[in-house]
Amino acid sequence: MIASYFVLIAASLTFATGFFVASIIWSIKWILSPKEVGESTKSVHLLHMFSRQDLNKGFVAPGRSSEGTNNESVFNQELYQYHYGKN
Amino acid sequence: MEKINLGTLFPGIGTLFSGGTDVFLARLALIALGLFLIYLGKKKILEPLLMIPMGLGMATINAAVMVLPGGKQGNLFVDPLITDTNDLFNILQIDWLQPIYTFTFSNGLIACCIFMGIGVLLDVGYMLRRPFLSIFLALFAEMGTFLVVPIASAMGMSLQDSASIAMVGGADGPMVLFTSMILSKDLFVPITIVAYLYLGFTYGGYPYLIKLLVPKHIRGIQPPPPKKVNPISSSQKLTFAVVMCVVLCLLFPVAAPLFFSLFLGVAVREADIKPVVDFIQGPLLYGSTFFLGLLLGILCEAHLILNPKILPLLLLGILALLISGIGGLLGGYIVYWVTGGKFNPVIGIAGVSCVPSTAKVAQKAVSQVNPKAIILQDALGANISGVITTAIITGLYVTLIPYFLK
Repeated sequence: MIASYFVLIAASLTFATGFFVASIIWSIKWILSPKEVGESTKSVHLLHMFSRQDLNKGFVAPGRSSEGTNNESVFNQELYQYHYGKN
Repeated sequence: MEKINLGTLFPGIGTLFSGGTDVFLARLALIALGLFLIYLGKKKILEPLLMIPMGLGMATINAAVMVLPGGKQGNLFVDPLITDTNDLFNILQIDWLQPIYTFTFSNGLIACCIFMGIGVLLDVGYMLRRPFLSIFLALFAEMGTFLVVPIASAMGMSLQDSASIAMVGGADGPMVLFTSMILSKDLFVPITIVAYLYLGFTYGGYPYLIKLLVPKHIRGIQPPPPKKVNPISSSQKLTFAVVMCVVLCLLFPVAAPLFFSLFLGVAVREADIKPVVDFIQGPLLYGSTFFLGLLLGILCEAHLILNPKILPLLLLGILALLISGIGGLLGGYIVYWVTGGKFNPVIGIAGVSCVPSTAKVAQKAVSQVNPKAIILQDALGANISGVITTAIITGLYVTLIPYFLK
């Protein structure tokens, strides 16, 4: 009888603690991951906006028109800038 | 000249005949069992790292019995029953394994070292992907850890002994050692040996349990991938380890050494401290497992199997693992029904925390039916959650039982 009562309490507490642990894990994921993803998404959007407003001439390779720079290839622009400099 | 007989010339043989028929048979049986364990280890049927030292230790300790000064029978390996400080200091200078037993085994250090090694090997990212699902499955896979307590009590065992043997259902050797050393000081050797012997059951028996309880068409289900997969960064894993360690130690200080060791291993891995990672997962883990096996073998003296409680322990240990396996599959079935048949219930058995054996068993069982189905990620998530839920149960049992004895 005592053993059954003990198991009932232990099992209830284990389930409660287990889901408490799961909620903590979920919170850690939620707090850390949206921030990292959010910032990088925002920076990509900002670059898109700059390129749309033709403010990204610095990215354009010498001898190429700005049309050659696709708005979708922001990362390629960064790569280009890394290799050739701003002009 | 004093007459020399064979018994005094070869004390190992002399003591074999002078201790009574039951001791004679028990010593021979344990020598045979030790040799059999070595055979099983060599054939890789059971873990050789444990079985070779355990088997050789078991055979040797039952051969090397001699008459000590004072007329008492004993050996020059270890005396686990010493409690008096002066006697302990004397014996530390005589028995060659006594320092290892006293300073690493009886205080739980060896269990913590192994747990640290397990922590370094764990990639908690699998668990972080789907925390609620992983924990849910792991909780169901602890069914044996719960249900065996009343069964053992009904068989006449004390609540402490019942809880200790029920921990075998968690399929986590260091945890069984830790719990039984606190709750059942008289039975911790046989309980831990039962646990380590039966861990092989997860490899040998669980595939049959899966085939018996999960029909072929369900076994081959490929679960759909999660809608949005964000890679789990090492910062998230490190934060998880730190927060969980502090929270669980706050809740269960009595199991804090275990929690700390496990999450220290995870933290070191995620902080990418490579020399320490290499040390923990290499010399520390292998060395601790080796000495654990050796000491368990050495502690298997003939008087151990003459204890009438041994047979029930053997039965209850296997029952605990069996019920846990069934519980894991039941948890898998619940998720299968809730998701409208999109989840593979075999993943549930991976909640039994024998890392990574049960996850591999689950993947193998699924691959036999559908070679394209990959369930290993979810299975490892449940597997790692199993380690954490078993540690939680350890903390709860050790904390709760004193209240029930008042």
